[in-house]
Amino acid sequence: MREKDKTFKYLFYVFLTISFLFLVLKIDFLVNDVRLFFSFLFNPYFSVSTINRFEKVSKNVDYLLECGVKNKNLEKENIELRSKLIDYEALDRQYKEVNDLLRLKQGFRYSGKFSKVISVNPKNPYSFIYLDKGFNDGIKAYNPVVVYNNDKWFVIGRINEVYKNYSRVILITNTNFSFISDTPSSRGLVVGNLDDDLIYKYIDGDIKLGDDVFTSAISITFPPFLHIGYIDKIISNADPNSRMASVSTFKIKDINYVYVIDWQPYIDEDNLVNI
Amino acid sequence: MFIIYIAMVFFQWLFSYQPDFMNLSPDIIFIFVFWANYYKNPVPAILFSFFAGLYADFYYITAFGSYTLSFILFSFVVNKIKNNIEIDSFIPRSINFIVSNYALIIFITILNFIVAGRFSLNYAVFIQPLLNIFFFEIFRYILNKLFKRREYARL
Repeated sequence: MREKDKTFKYLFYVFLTISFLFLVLKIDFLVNDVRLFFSFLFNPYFSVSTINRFEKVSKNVDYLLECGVKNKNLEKENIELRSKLIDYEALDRQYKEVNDLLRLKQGFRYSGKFSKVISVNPKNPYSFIYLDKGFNDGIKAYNPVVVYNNDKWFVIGRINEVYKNYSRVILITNTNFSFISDTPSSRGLVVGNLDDDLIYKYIDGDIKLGDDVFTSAISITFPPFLHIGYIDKIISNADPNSRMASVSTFKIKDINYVYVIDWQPYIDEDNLVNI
Repeated sequence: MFIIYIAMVFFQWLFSYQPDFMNLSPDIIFIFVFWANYYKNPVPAILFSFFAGLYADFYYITAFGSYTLSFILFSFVVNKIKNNIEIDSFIPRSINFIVSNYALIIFITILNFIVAGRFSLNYAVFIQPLLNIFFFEIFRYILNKLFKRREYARL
Protein backbone atom coordinates (compact mmCIF):
# COMPACT_ATOMS: atom_id res chain seq x y z
CA MET A 1 0.00 0.00 0.00
CA ARG A 2 2.81 2.27 0.81
CA GLU A 3 4.46 1.50 -2.52
CA LYS A 4 1.29 2.50 -4.28
CA ASP A 5 1.12 5.71 -2.28
CA LYS A 6 4.68 6.49 -3.23
CA THR A 7 4.04 5.79 -6.87
CA PHE A 8 0.90 7.88 -6.71
CA LYS A 9 2.76 10.78 -5.16
CA TYR A 10 5.62 10.38 -7.59
CA LEU A 11 3.27 10.36 -10.56
CA PHE A 12 1.33 13.29 -9.11
CA TYR A 13 4.46 15.42 -8.86
CA VAL A 14 5.66 14.41 -12.30
CA PHE A 15 2.31 15.16 -13.93
CA LEU A 16 1.93 18.36 -11.95
CA THR A 17 5.34 19.50 -13.18
CA ILE A 18 4.49 18.56 -16.76
CA SER A 19 1.16 20.36 -16.69
CA PHE A 20 2.75 23.43 -15.13
CA LEU A 21 5.39 23.35 -17.84
CA PHE A 22 2.65 23.20 -20.46
CA LEU A 23 1.00 26.23 -18.96
CA VAL A 24 4.20 28.22 -18.45
CA LEU A 25 5.76 27.45 -21.81
CA LYS A 26 2.50 28.24 -23.62
CA ILE A 27 2.92 25.68 -26.36
CA ASP A 28 -0.51 26.34 -27.85
CA PHE A 29 0.98 27.33 -31.21
CA LEU A 30 2.61 23.90 -31.42
CA VAL A 31 -0.57 21.99 -30.72
CA ASN A 32 -2.98 24.12 -32.75
CA ASP A 33 -2.66 21.85 -35.77
CA VAL A 34 -3.45 18.81 -33.62
CA ARG A 35 -6.41 20.70 -32.18
CA LEU A 36 -7.59 21.49 -35.68
CA PHE A 37 -7.34 17.82 -36.55
CA PHE A 38 -9.29 16.96 -33.39
CA SER A 39 -11.90 19.54 -34.22
CA PHE A 40 -12.40 17.98 -37.63
CA LEU A 41 -12.32 14.47 -36.22
CA PHE A 42 -14.76 15.20 -33.45
CA ASN A 43 -16.98 18.19 -33.54
CA PRO A 44 -16.17 20.94 -36.00
CA TYR A 45 -18.33 23.42 -34.11
CA PHE A 46 -16.15 23.22 -31.01
CA SER A 47 -13.17 24.71 -32.75
CA VAL A 48 -13.10 28.48 -33.08
CA SER A 49 -10.73 28.41 -36.04
CA THR A 50 -12.88 25.84 -37.78
CA ILE A 51 -15.97 27.89 -37.12
CA ASN A 52 -14.20 30.88 -38.62
CA ARG A 53 -13.24 28.82 -41.63
CA PHE A 54 -16.78 27.56 -42.05
CA GLU A 55 -18.08 31.07 -41.60
CA LYS A 56 -15.69 32.29 -44.26
CA VAL A 57 -16.82 29.56 -46.64
CA SER A 58 -20.49 30.28 -45.96
CA LYS A 59 -19.86 34.02 -46.32
CA ASN A 60 -18.14 33.42 -49.63
CA VAL A 61 -21.05 31.30 -50.78
CA ASP A 62 -23.42 34.05 -49.64
CA TYR A 63 -21.39 36.64 -51.52
CA LEU A 64 -21.45 34.47 -54.62
CA LEU A 65 -25.22 34.07 -54.40
CA GLU A 66 -25.63 37.77 -53.73
CA CYS A 67 -23.39 38.61 -56.68
CA GLY A 68 -25.41 36.23 -58.86
CA VAL A 69 -28.66 37.94 -57.88
CA LYS A 70 -27.12 41.39 -58.36
CA ASN A 71 -25.76 40.31 -61.72
CA LYS A 72 -29.21 39.21 -62.83
CA ASN A 73 -30.71 42.46 -61.61
CA LEU A 74 -28.05 44.40 -63.49
CA GLU A 75 -28.75 42.38 -66.63
CA LYS A 76 -32.44 43.23 -66.31
CA GLU A 77 -31.59 46.86 -65.74
CA ASN A 78 -29.29 46.77 -68.74
CA ILE A 79 -32.04 45.37 -70.95
CA GLU A 80 -34.46 48.02 -69.67
CA LEU A 81 -31.94 50.78 -70.27
CA ARG A 82 -31.20 49.49 -73.75
CA SER A 83 -34.90 49.42 -74.58
CA LYS A 84 -35.15 52.96 -73.21
CA LEU A 85 -32.20 53.91 -75.36
CA ILE A 86 -34.08 52.71 -78.41
CA ASP A 87 -37.02 54.80 -77.27
CA TYR A 88 -34.70 57.72 -76.81
CA GLU A 89 -33.47 57.32 -80.36
CA ALA A 90 -37.04 57.36 -81.66
CA LEU A 91 -37.88 60.28 -79.41
CA ASP A 92 -34.77 62.08 -80.58
CA ARG A 93 -35.82 61.54 -84.17
CA GLN A 94 -39.30 62.84 -83.43
CA TYR A 95 -37.86 65.77 -81.54
CA LYS A 96 -35.69 66.65 -84.51
CA GLU A 97 -38.68 66.41 -86.81
CA VAL A 98 -40.77 68.65 -84.60
CA ASN A 99 -37.86 71.02 -84.19
CA ASP A 100 -37.49 71.23 -87.95
CA LEU A 101 -41.19 71.89 -88.27
CA LEU A 102 -41.04 74.61 -85.67
CA ARG A 103 -38.08 76.16 -87.42
CA LEU A 104 -39.94 76.05 -90.72
CA LYS A 105 -43.07 77.45 -89.18
CA GLN A 106 -41.17 80.60 -88.41
CA GLY A 107 -40.82 81.14 -92.15
CA PHE A 108 -44.40 80.14 -92.91
CA ARG A 109 -46.74 83.04 -93.41
CA TYR A 110 -49.90 81.42 -92.03
CA SER A 111 -50.58 81.01 -88.36
CA GLY A 112 -51.99 77.76 -87.09
CA LYS A 113 -51.41 74.75 -84.90
CA PHE A 114 -49.33 71.63 -85.20
CA SER A 115 -51.27 68.48 -84.71
CA LYS A 116 -50.55 64.81 -84.66
CA VAL A 117 -52.24 62.24 -86.85
CA ILE A 118 -53.96 59.78 -84.55
CA SER A 119 -55.83 57.63 -87.04
CA VAL A 120 -56.47 56.99 -90.72
CA ASN A 121 -59.38 55.41 -92.45
CA PRO A 122 -58.29 51.78 -92.60
CA LYS A 123 -60.30 50.86 -95.69
CA ASN A 124 -59.35 53.94 -97.70
CA PRO A 125 -56.26 55.51 -96.19
CA TYR A 126 -56.34 58.30 -98.74
CA SER A 127 -59.86 59.42 -97.80
CA PHE A 128 -59.80 60.70 -94.19
CA ILE A 129 -57.39 61.13 -91.33
CA TYR A 130 -58.00 62.09 -87.71
CA LEU A 131 -56.02 64.66 -85.74
CA ASP A 132 -55.48 64.95 -82.00
CA LYS A 133 -56.59 68.59 -81.86
CA GLY A 134 -60.20 69.70 -81.81
CA PHE A 135 -62.55 72.53 -81.00
CA ASN A 136 -60.95 73.13 -77.59
CA ASP A 137 -57.64 73.74 -79.33
CA GLY A 138 -59.06 76.31 -81.70
CA ILE A 139 -59.51 74.06 -84.72
CA LYS A 140 -62.37 75.10 -86.98
CA ALA A 141 -64.12 73.52 -89.94
CA TYR A 142 -62.65 74.22 -93.40
CA ASN A 143 -59.19 74.92 -91.94
CA PRO A 144 -56.60 73.83 -94.52
CA VAL A 145 -54.19 71.14 -93.42
CA VAL A 146 -50.64 71.16 -94.72
CA VAL A 147 -47.62 68.98 -94.23
CA TYR A 148 -43.93 69.67 -94.64
CA ASN A 149 -42.22 67.28 -96.98
CA ASN A 150 -39.08 67.56 -99.10
CA ASP A 151 -38.50 71.16 -98.06
CA LYS A 152 -41.95 72.23 -99.20
CA TRP A 153 -45.33 72.71 -97.61
CA PHE A 154 -47.87 70.47 -99.28
CA VAL A 155 -51.57 70.86 -98.83
CA ILE A 156 -53.12 67.53 -97.94
CA GLY A 157 -56.74 68.34 -97.10
CA ARG A 158 -59.00 70.34 -94.87
CA ILE A 159 -60.92 69.92 -91.67
CA ASN A 160 -64.44 68.75 -92.30
CA GLU A 161 -65.55 67.61 -88.84
CA VAL A 162 -64.53 69.14 -85.56
CA TYR A 163 -65.07 67.50 -82.19
CA LYS A 164 -64.08 68.66 -78.72
CA ASN A 165 -60.65 67.08 -78.64
CA TYR A 166 -60.13 65.71 -82.12
CA SER A 167 -61.06 66.46 -85.67
CA ARG A 168 -61.42 64.77 -89.04
CA VAL A 169 -59.61 65.80 -92.19
CA ILE A 170 -60.89 65.10 -95.65
CA LEU A 171 -57.85 64.56 -97.81
CA ILE A 172 -57.44 66.05 -101.25
CA THR A 173 -56.98 62.50 -102.52
CA ASN A 174 -60.59 61.70 -101.57
CA THR A 175 -62.73 61.20 -104.70
CA ASN A 176 -65.32 63.62 -103.29
CA PHE A 177 -62.80 66.42 -103.16
CA SER A 178 -61.97 68.73 -106.02
CA PHE A 179 -60.60 72.23 -106.29
CA ILE A 180 -59.10 74.62 -108.80
CA SER A 181 -55.32 74.60 -109.01
CA ASP A 182 -52.57 76.03 -111.16
CA THR A 183 -49.31 75.11 -112.74
CA PRO A 184 -46.88 77.82 -113.93
CA SER A 185 -48.61 77.89 -117.32
CA SER A 186 -52.02 76.30 -116.87
CA ARG A 187 -55.11 76.14 -114.68
CA GLY A 188 -57.37 73.19 -114.10
CA LEU A 189 -59.31 71.12 -111.65
CA VAL A 190 -57.67 68.64 -109.29
CA VAL A 191 -59.76 65.63 -108.31
CA GLY A 192 -58.93 62.93 -105.79
CA ASN A 193 -58.22 59.38 -106.84
CA LEU A 194 -58.04 57.51 -103.48
CA ASP A 195 -54.35 56.99 -104.12
CA ASP A 196 -51.11 58.89 -103.83
CA ASP A 197 -51.78 60.69 -107.09
CA LEU A 198 -54.45 63.18 -108.19
CA ILE A 199 -56.15 63.73 -111.49
CA TYR A 200 -55.61 67.13 -113.04
CA LYS A 201 -58.24 67.79 -115.68
CA TYR A 202 -60.15 70.49 -117.49
CA ILE A 203 -56.75 71.95 -118.17
CA ASP A 204 -56.48 75.36 -119.74
CA GLY A 205 -52.95 76.09 -120.89
CA ASP A 206 -49.80 74.09 -121.47
CA ILE A 207 -48.51 71.41 -119.21
CA LYS A 208 -45.36 69.38 -119.18
CA LEU A 209 -43.91 66.65 -117.03
CA GLY A 210 -42.43 67.84 -113.76
CA ASP A 211 -44.55 70.99 -113.53
CA ASP A 212 -45.34 72.02 -110.00
CA VAL A 213 -49.02 72.07 -109.17
CA PHE A 214 -50.14 74.55 -106.51
CA THR A 215 -53.33 76.00 -105.18
CA SER A 216 -54.85 78.66 -107.35
CA ALA A 217 -55.04 82.31 -106.51
CA ILE A 218 -58.70 82.31 -107.52
CA SER A 219 -59.67 79.30 -105.44
CA ILE A 220 -61.36 79.91 -102.10
CA THR A 221 -60.92 76.31 -101.02
CA PHE A 222 -57.28 76.85 -99.96
CA PRO A 223 -54.98 79.76 -99.54
CA PRO A 224 -53.06 80.40 -102.79
CA PHE A 225 -49.65 79.02 -103.80
CA LEU A 226 -49.53 75.98 -101.57
CA HIS A 227 -47.89 72.99 -103.21
CA ILE A 228 -50.03 70.05 -104.21
CA GLY A 229 -47.53 67.94 -106.14
CA TYR A 230 -45.96 67.70 -109.55
CA ILE A 231 -47.11 66.33 -112.87
CA ASP A 232 -45.69 62.88 -113.41
CA LYS A 233 -47.87 61.68 -116.28
CA ILE A 234 -49.81 63.32 -119.09
CA ILE A 235 -52.73 61.53 -120.67
CA SER A 236 -53.15 63.02 -124.13
CA ASN A 237 -56.37 63.15 -126.03
CA ALA A 238 -57.39 64.33 -129.48
CA ASP A 239 -59.74 66.76 -127.87
CA PRO A 240 -57.55 69.29 -126.06
CA ASN A 241 -60.32 69.86 -123.50
CA SER A 242 -60.15 66.22 -122.49
CA ARG A 243 -56.45 66.29 -121.61
CA MET A 244 -55.64 64.94 -118.22
CA ALA A 245 -52.56 64.65 -116.09
CA SER A 246 -51.58 62.63 -113.09
CA VAL A 247 -50.24 64.67 -110.17
CA SER A 248 -47.96 62.89 -107.80
CA THR A 249 -48.61 64.04 -104.23
CA PHE A 250 -47.98 62.99 -100.63
CA LYS A 251 -47.81 59.45 -99.31
CA ILE A 252 -49.91 58.71 -96.31
CA LYS A 253 -47.05 56.82 -94.60
CA ASP A 254 -44.99 60.03 -94.46
CA ILE A 255 -47.60 61.99 -92.59
CA ASN A 256 -47.09 62.05 -88.82
CA TYR A 257 -47.45 65.69 -87.93
CA VAL A 258 -49.53 68.20 -89.81
CA TYR A 259 -50.06 71.93 -89.58
CA VAL A 260 -53.61 73.20 -89.41
CA ILE A 261 -53.76 76.70 -90.84
CA ASP A 262 -56.01 79.13 -89.06
CA TRP A 263 -57.83 80.15 -92.23
CA GLN A 264 -61.43 79.82 -93.29
CA PRO A 265 -62.72 80.31 -96.84
CA TYR A 266 -66.32 80.70 -95.74
CA ILE A 267 -67.84 82.72 -92.94
CA ASP A 268 -70.45 80.88 -90.92
CA GLU A 269 -73.97 82.20 -91.17
CA ASP A 270 -74.11 82.77 -87.43
CA ASN A 271 -71.04 84.93 -87.63
CA LEU A 272 -72.53 86.69 -90.60
CA VAL A 273 -75.59 87.56 -88.57
CA ASN A 274 -73.39 88.86 -85.82
CA ILE A 275 -71.46 91.00 -88.23
CA MET B 1 -7.77 1.53 -18.02
CA PHE B 2 -6.78 1.72 -21.65
CA ILE B 3 -10.14 0.27 -22.66
CA ILE B 4 -11.91 2.85 -20.51
CA TYR B 5 -9.80 5.57 -22.12
CA ILE B 6 -10.77 4.34 -25.59
CA ALA B 7 -14.39 4.16 -24.46
CA MET B 8 -14.16 7.74 -23.23
CA VAL B 9 -12.76 8.92 -26.57
CA PHE B 10 -15.42 6.96 -28.40
CA PHE B 11 -18.30 8.38 -26.35
CA GLN B 12 -16.88 11.87 -26.57
CA TRP B 13 -16.79 11.48 -30.34
CA LEU B 14 -20.30 10.00 -30.33
CA PHE B 15 -21.82 12.80 -28.24
CA SER B 16 -20.05 15.52 -30.15
CA TYR B 17 -22.08 14.57 -33.21
CA GLN B 18 -25.39 14.23 -31.39
CA PRO B 19 -27.94 17.00 -31.53
CA ASP B 20 -27.37 19.02 -28.40
CA PHE B 21 -29.71 21.21 -26.37
CA MET B 22 -28.86 24.85 -25.71
CA ASN B 23 -25.37 24.27 -27.12
CA LEU B 24 -24.81 21.74 -24.36
CA SER B 25 -23.59 18.21 -24.50
CA PRO B 26 -22.46 16.06 -21.58
CA ASP B 27 -18.82 16.40 -20.55
CA ILE B 28 -17.87 12.78 -21.09
CA ILE B 29 -14.23 13.37 -20.14
CA PHE B 30 -15.10 14.67 -16.70
CA ILE B 31 -17.62 11.89 -16.16
CA PHE B 32 -14.95 9.29 -16.90
CA VAL B 33 -12.31 11.05 -14.81
CA PHE B 34 -14.74 11.29 -11.91
CA TRP B 35 -15.67 7.65 -12.24
CA ALA B 36 -12.03 6.48 -12.54
CA ASN B 37 -10.92 8.43 -9.48
CA TYR B 38 -13.72 7.17 -7.26
CA TYR B 39 -13.95 3.60 -8.48
CA LYS B 40 -10.37 2.77 -9.44
CA ASN B 41 -7.08 2.55 -7.62
CA PRO B 42 -5.07 5.78 -7.20
CA VAL B 43 -2.22 5.03 -9.61
CA PRO B 44 -4.35 4.03 -12.63
CA ALA B 45 -6.71 6.86 -11.70
CA ILE B 46 -4.04 9.55 -11.80
CA LEU B 47 -2.62 8.08 -15.02
CA PHE B 48 -6.06 8.13 -16.52
CA SER B 49 -6.61 11.70 -15.28
CA PHE B 50 -3.35 12.87 -16.81
CA PHE B 51 -4.05 11.40 -20.24
CA ALA B 52 -7.68 12.44 -20.12
CA GLY B 53 -6.46 15.95 -19.30
CA LEU B 54 -4.10 15.87 -22.27
CA TYR B 55 -6.92 14.69 -24.46
CA ALA B 56 -9.18 17.49 -23.17
CA ASP B 57 -6.42 20.03 -23.77
CA PHE B 58 -6.24 18.94 -27.36
CA TYR B 59 -9.99 18.90 -27.61
CA TYR B 60 -10.93 22.25 -26.05
CA ILE B 61 -9.57 25.64 -27.02
CA THR B 62 -8.10 26.63 -23.69
CA ALA B 63 -4.57 27.30 -22.53
CA PHE B 64 -2.75 24.06 -23.21
CA GLY B 65 -2.15 22.25 -19.91
CA SER B 66 -5.07 23.75 -18.00
CA TYR B 67 -7.20 20.61 -18.20
CA THR B 68 -4.19 18.40 -17.40
CA LEU B 69 -3.41 20.42 -14.29
CA SER B 70 -7.06 20.53 -13.24
CA PHE B 71 -7.55 16.78 -13.59
CA ILE B 72 -4.25 16.01 -11.80
CA LEU B 73 -5.23 18.22 -8.90
CA PHE B 74 -8.73 16.80 -8.96
CA SER B 75 -7.33 13.27 -8.88
CA PHE B 76 -5.04 14.14 -6.02
CA VAL B 77 -7.82 15.72 -3.96
CA VAL B 78 -10.27 12.90 -4.62
CA ASN B 79 -7.76 10.22 -3.72
CA LYS B 80 -7.00 12.02 -0.50
CA ILE B 81 -10.60 12.41 0.60
CA LYS B 82 -12.48 9.58 -1.06
CA ASN B 83 -12.19 7.30 1.93
CA ASN B 84 -14.18 9.81 3.93
CA ILE B 85 -16.89 10.38 1.31
CA GLU B 86 -20.04 8.39 0.81
CA ILE B 87 -20.15 7.44 -2.88
CA ASP B 88 -22.51 4.47 -2.98
CA SER B 89 -25.68 6.40 -2.20
CA PHE B 90 -27.29 8.41 -4.95
CA ILE B 91 -27.86 11.78 -3.27
CA PRO B 92 -24.40 12.26 -1.71
CA ARG B 93 -22.83 11.04 -4.92
CA SER B 94 -24.86 13.47 -7.00
CA ILE B 95 -24.06 16.38 -4.71
CA ASN B 96 -20.41 15.41 -4.76
CA PHE B 97 -20.43 15.16 -8.53
CA ILE B 98 -22.18 18.48 -9.10
CA VAL B 99 -20.01 20.35 -6.63
CA SER B 100 -16.88 18.84 -8.17
CA ASN B 101 -18.03 19.70 -11.63
CA TYR B 102 -18.81 23.32 -10.76
CA ALA B 103 -15.51 23.63 -8.91
CA LEU B 104 -13.61 22.29 -11.88
CA ILE B 105 -15.37 24.59 -14.34
CA ILE B 106 -14.67 27.64 -12.22
CA PHE B 107 -11.09 26.55 -11.62
CA ILE B 108 -10.43 26.05 -15.34
CA THR B 109 -12.06 29.36 -16.20
CA ILE B 110 -9.97 31.26 -13.65
CA LEU B 111 -6.82 29.40 -14.67
CA ASN B 112 -7.48 30.15 -18.31
CA PHE B 113 -8.03 33.81 -17.46
CA ILE B 114 -4.75 33.96 -15.52
CA VAL B 115 -2.64 32.13 -18.08
CA ALA B 116 -4.15 33.13 -21.43
CA GLY B 117 -5.80 36.38 -20.37
CA ARG B 118 -9.16 35.56 -21.93
CA PHE B 119 -12.37 35.06 -20.05
CA SER B 120 -14.23 32.83 -22.48
CA LEU B 121 -16.89 31.45 -20.19
CA ASN B 122 -20.01 30.16 -21.83
CA TYR B 123 -22.70 30.69 -19.21
CA ALA B 124 -24.54 27.62 -20.46
CA VAL B 125 -21.86 25.46 -18.78
CA PHE B 126 -23.48 26.22 -15.45
CA ILE B 127 -26.33 23.99 -16.54
CA GLN B 128 -23.95 21.35 -17.87
CA PRO B 129 -23.31 19.62 -14.49
CA LEU B 130 -27.03 18.85 -14.23
CA LEU B 131 -26.82 17.14 -17.59
CA ASN B 132 -23.58 15.47 -16.62
CA ILE B 133 -25.00 13.86 -13.50
CA PHE B 134 -27.68 12.18 -15.56
CA PHE B 135 -25.14 10.71 -17.95
CA PHE B 136 -22.77 9.93 -15.14
CA GLU B 137 -25.37 7.68 -13.56
CA ILE B 138 -25.80 5.80 -16.81
CA PHE B 139 -22.07 5.41 -17.39
CA ARG B 140 -21.47 4.50 -13.75
CA TYR B 141 -24.02 1.72 -14.00
CA ILE B 142 -22.54 0.38 -17.26
CA LEU B 143 -18.89 0.70 -16.21
CA ASN B 144 -19.50 -0.82 -12.80
CA LYS B 145 -21.20 -3.73 -14.50
CA LEU B 146 -18.32 -4.19 -16.91
CA PHE B 147 -15.45 -3.48 -14.51
CA LYS B 148 -16.94 -4.80 -11.32
CA ARG B 149 -15.09 -4.01 -8.14
CA ARG B 150 -14.10 -7.08 -6.19
CA GLU B 151 -15.87 -6.87 -2.89
CA TYR B 152 -15.18 -10.40 -1.87
CA ALA B 153 -12.12 -12.51 -1.33
CA ARG B 154 -10.96 -14.56 -4.27
CA LEU B 155 -11.26 -18.26 -3.52
